[in-house]
Amino acid sequence: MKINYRASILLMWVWLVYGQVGAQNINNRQHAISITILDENIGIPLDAFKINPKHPGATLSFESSKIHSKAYRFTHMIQLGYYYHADFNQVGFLGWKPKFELRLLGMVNVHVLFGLGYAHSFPTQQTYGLENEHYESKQSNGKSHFMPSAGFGGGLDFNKALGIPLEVFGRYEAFSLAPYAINGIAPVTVNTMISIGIKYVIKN
Amino acid sequence: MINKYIIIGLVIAILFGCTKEDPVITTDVYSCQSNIDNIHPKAKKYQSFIEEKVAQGLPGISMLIETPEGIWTGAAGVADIPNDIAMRSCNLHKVGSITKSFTATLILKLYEKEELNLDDTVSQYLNDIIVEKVANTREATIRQLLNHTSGIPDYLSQIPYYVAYLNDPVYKWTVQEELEYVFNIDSLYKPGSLVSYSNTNYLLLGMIVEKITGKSGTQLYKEMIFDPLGMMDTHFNQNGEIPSNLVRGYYEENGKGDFVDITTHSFANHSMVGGVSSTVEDLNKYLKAMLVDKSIFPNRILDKMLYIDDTPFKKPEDFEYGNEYNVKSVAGFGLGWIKMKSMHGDVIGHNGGYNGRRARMWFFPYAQSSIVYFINASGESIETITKELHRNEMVDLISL
Repeated sequence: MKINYRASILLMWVWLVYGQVGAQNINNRQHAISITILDENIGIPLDAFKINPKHPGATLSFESSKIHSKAYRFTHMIQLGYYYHADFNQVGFLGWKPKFELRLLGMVNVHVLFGLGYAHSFPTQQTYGLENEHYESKQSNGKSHFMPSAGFGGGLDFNKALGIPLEVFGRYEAFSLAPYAINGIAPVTVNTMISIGIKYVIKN
Repeated sequence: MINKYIIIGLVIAILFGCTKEDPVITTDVYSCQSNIDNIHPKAKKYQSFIEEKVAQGLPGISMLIETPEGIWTGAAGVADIPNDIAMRSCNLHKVGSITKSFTATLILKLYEKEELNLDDTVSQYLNDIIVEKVANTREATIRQLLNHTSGIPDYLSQIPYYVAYLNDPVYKWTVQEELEYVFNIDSLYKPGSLVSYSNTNYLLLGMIVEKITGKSGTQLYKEMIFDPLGMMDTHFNQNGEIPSNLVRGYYEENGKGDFVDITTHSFANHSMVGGVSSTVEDLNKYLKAMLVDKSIFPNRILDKMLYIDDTPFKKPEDFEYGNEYNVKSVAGFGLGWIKMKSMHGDVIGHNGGYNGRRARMWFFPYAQSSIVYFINASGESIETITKELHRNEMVDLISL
């Protein structure tokens, strides 16, 4: 029998999280903001971890965590972002991303997150449209997309060691823009995003 | 405070984005001289027709029609939208897959010189790595590459290739890199059993002619086709460079009538699959030399080139246009040529085009007439116009 290790680890972690929630109900709230710089690519998730300098982007997130224990944390994240995919599209997005976080030694964390969001894409170039039987420059209104996502990452919290309310983290996410008819070939795009960022705790 | 600025910056970026401006080009870049007297009794009708197409939504069109009554060339619309430069009939366009007809001509020239046999297997001319990794190359013959019966998968249809293209649309590919997208991909069928259009066939044919002659595709096209036929405005830039006087190509990516300039996109720009640039006049010279004057090949070779056997299509529905059209169907593939069935009889030629461009080169034996045209755009909002032109109006124009 073939064992799906990724699924097994995820299930074990979810069980641990919910198992511990009942046992150690600390119920502190923490608010933070985080910013990331990111690199986007179109591609098959987990197939390649490529960095393409032509596809930069950034996000700004507000994070609200309910701290159930020192070891586990559940965070609601509202994320605003933008990326530029040269010669193809540029995308602004707004999403809700629940994040489950496992913390080790109060300093290191690994996390998974899922997302539901709205994205709006525009061409990266000047657009032209037909006006009175003649093509002229026009402002594109872009296209709307549903943007589901899933990802994982890890971070290093400086609060315990240095007393600074900062965390640095890295993250890999797969997401989709739907609908997105590219040449009629695919109804959606499948993208990946690699990001690094800083989280600043504003209320403990 | 810093956070506030970050938020403002992000909102501005999302609302207004970063739009790359298109280049400023002056009219003289596109200056050219037509060599055709342009005396045709139906010249006005033809010119009105293409102007109507532009009014309907084509950015620009160059066209040539030659019938027993005379020859006409005309253009309408623009070669460059932001710089408002009018299209001229002598302007340079990408011919896309019409390039395949030139590549087939090179192969048949080598056959004529007995430097290869059409029933030689592809493996006789390619290195072991390719034969090992590209399906069917051990058994498929040169003839089967030419008429798309090899069963070798199409690299342009591979999702990883398309993903790579989208990630860097202006990347300059090499033939080897493109071929790698069909490494270890299953064959479509047993060689010779079905017909399925595959760009990989002509990628391999380009490699074969270069290997046999020891010359580059650029040299071969020039020495064996362009120069002998006086096609002085026809070029092949194997290094993928875009000629500065190439008419701009516009592509509508989002189905909302928003066209963007994708002239610099590298889709098959460099290869013997689709990399030639030409004019309507030069393509007509080639069409006439091949099919009317028969000055390129003697009849025994031309007959082989145009022969279509009864091998069935893998996807016949893709080649049936329907009875509502003047052009009913694609009858089949010869060696670098396509035969279509029209309401009046067979039509011989080739289509070309990729994002942002459409090219057509057709000869109508029943009327001893030809039509060549280029459209400098593609996209959902003009698809009906281009399809109507190709399947209906092209035949009507010849029969006017």
